[in-house]
Amino acid sequence: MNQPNASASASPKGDVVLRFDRVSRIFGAFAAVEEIDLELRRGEILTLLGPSGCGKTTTLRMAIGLERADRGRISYLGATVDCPAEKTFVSPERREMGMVFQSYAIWPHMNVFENVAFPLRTRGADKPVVTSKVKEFLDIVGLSGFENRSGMQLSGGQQQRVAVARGLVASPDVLLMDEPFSNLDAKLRDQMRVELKLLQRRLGASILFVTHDQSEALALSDRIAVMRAGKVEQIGAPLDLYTKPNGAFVRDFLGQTIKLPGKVSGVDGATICAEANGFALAVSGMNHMKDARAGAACLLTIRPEEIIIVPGEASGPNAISATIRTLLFLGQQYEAVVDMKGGGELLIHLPRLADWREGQQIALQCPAERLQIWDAEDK
Amino acid sequence: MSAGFAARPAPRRFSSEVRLVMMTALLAVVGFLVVYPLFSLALTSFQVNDFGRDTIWGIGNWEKVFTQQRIGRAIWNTITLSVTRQGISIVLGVLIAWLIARSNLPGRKVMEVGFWIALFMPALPVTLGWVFLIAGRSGILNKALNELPFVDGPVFNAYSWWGIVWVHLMTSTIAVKVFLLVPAFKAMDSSLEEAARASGATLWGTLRQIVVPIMLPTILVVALIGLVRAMQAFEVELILGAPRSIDVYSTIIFRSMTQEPPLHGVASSLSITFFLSIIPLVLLQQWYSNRHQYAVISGKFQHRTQDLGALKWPLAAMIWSLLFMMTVVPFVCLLLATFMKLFGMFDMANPWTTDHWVNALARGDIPRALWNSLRLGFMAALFGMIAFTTIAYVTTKTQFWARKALDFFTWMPTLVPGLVLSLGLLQMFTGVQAFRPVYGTITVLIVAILISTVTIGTQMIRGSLRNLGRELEEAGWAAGGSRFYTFRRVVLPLIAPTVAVIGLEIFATANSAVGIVALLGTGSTQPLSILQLVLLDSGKFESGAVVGVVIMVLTITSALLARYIGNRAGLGRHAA
Repeated sequence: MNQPNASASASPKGDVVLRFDRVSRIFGAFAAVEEIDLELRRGEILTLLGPSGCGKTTTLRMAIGLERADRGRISYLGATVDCPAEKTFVSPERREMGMVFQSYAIWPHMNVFENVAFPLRTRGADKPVVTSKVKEFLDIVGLSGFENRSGMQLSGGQQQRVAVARGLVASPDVLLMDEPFSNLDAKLRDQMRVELKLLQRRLGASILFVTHDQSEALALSDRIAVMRAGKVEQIGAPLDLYTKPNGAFVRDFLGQTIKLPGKVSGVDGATICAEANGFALAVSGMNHMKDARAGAACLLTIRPEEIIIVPGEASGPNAISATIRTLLFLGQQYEAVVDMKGGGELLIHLPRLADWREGQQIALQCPAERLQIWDAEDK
Repeated sequence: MSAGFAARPAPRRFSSEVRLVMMTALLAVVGFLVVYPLFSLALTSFQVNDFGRDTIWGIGNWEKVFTQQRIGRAIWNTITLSVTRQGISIVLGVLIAWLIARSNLPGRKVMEVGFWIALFMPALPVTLGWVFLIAGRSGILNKALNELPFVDGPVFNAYSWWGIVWVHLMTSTIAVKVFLLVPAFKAMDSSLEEAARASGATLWGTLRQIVVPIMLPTILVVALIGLVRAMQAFEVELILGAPRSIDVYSTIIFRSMTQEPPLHGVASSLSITFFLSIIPLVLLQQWYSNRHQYAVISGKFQHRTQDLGALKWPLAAMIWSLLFMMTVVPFVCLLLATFMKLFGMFDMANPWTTDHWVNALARGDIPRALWNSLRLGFMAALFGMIAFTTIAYVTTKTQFWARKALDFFTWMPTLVPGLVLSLGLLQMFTGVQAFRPVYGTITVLIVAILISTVTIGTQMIRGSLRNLGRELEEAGWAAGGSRFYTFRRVVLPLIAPTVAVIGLEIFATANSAVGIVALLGTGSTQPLSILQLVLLDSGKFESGAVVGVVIMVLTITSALLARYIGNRAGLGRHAA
């Protein structure tokens, strides 16, 4: 597997706001975070994405100092804030970051104004500054007029906005967000996602964002770091991760994949010829095989939306014949289980604006440049 | 502001070393105050010399403890009295708590307040109230019953084994169970009950087959706490057991301390035995509650009440009469007693008098004791709120290395009966050179009250800190607040109602506690509770009743105030 490379598209050093250097966090015998390297650049949204227990929240909590690193170095704005080897640790309140918690942590005994004013007060801001800043940020998050409401009288979405305003009001260099949308219903989540992105663009904030929701990560992030078992698997722009995963974990964690087991039949320069289900398929997309040679077992993959589906028998190169077994109408499209000629079934989506029926013959055309080839064990 | 982090020098704060030293000092003080009295008792139990003479070491005291028949009888009485009233009260407590928490019983909210008041009712004045009502031939209830044609002689007798059981049931024994069980029942998911009803179970069947088994861990813990408390009971037995020589462990300790010369050694070895015999119960309770977590009590639950049907009126009537007997009856009797020439003699030409009040106020010791009680109450409450909040915070929210030990220390006084602790503290304040100047001042009593309330105080504040949600405090730090600033602005306001309730609880304890201060309050620092004990012990029932009324008014006022504060803050409602 390729080593993750955080500085693949290195930006000038001054642009890095927050940096993790081989940072580990160990609970007993269990390494929650193991030797991770990360850079948050000014003005970007970097998302830590991974299944629960992968260490993403621990990483975020180390960034602000709610957890201490056991090894490595965390630096913020060029200064070390946590380095056990040098016995350096800057406590959370002195890091002057902003944070939005999963539960929002809106203090129930304070009204909206006081909640948002808190970070300004801890930084010793003057009264007029507090008033105008709070007003400004409540306006930005669309909560003007809610100043005197108690935290308990707010809906989930409103609490979320107060939390965002509180996180941003002191203009921190970094805003940390720990699964901030996970307690909202689906519709509100989509809406808040857009609002956050617009807000971030407007304020130029640098955000370290944690989520387990891949569509949220893809939609929001400038870059995504996919984490698994305490390690960063791959880091990069959403489209890169989606189209060029460096391993089976990233490939399967982001979006759906159609997998066809097969065998290499020959190598012709950058193109590999393979055979699956009795169909000959040319592959010119990414080659993940350690040693692609004729006769080796392999796995061919393609994203469902990359397959061109046409009615009728398969003809021409890179086409697979199949029959529609079941057809489910989902609204904007159909979901179909198809039987491939030569055995095996696939779950694919069919566009609504065509005439489909069960039992129909179709051809699945897989463009050579979209197909990727893996070792057979990368299932 | 963006460059502020690197540019601005870090403000001065307590370094982690200073914090560590402060927390260690706290551990040392708390540890000393709860461990030393026991250590001192253990030492004294091996001293066989007469009080005030040269020290002679020996095991004579221990021989007496295990050979004297009177002590054997006292142990037997302690056990039978405790088990009997705990058995009765746990059954009633579960039933009443369930009815209040889970059914549509009329007036159940007010009943909860009623049991809260009953919980605060001071034992000694209540005992006195019942003495006036059912003490042998002179009790007015007995007299009234005697008028009936088929009754001959007194029907009830407060000065008896069952009298002791009854008066205990009428003070806090049932009330404390209701108080502890109602929140637990309220937190239970009502769909569990509804599923039973839907499957064909009757209301009674649901209670028996579903509710009680699910709540068994909680019920058992409450029962064990009750048993430990029951074995420590003191003042009721002292007053009601005396005429027929029904002794329990604690009264024997008291008598050996108050006789001339006081038998410090015997009292000490009795105290140690008592302490050791309670430990297994406490361990059992801890073991059991650790094994059975409250799995059914989750954040998300349905809370609907069960319809009792026509049964609700008789059930409500029963609970109302019980509450009436627990609160109104003893208070009214006591109040009447202070205004009657001879209590219960309504057929006298002019039975009413204000002499008792006039005399009591003229004596000077009652106003002085009242002043002592108020001073003691306010100061103990103030120090207690500060100390218990600090201990609770250190044990829940810090990584202090010895936080478990600190928590353990706060549990210790629960194991030690008030009277035993009183004796231990007496020895500490007279035995340790450095403390001698403090002996005889109100400080001694403050320390005693704080030790006796440290468990409930610390644990309640701990509970409310734990319910706080870690992120609320972390959000404060993340927003730039120091530990202390965040504590002051975020944590303290949120737990303030609990802290205030604890303050009132300490105030009430200071006004009514007898056992813990029994051996410590001397002449000029004597609080009301001890003055009352002394008056009753010397047969001055009318003056004792006057003091009792004052104590009752003080404690009930603080109980209602605590309830009001707790309710306004919604304590226990949106805890999570």
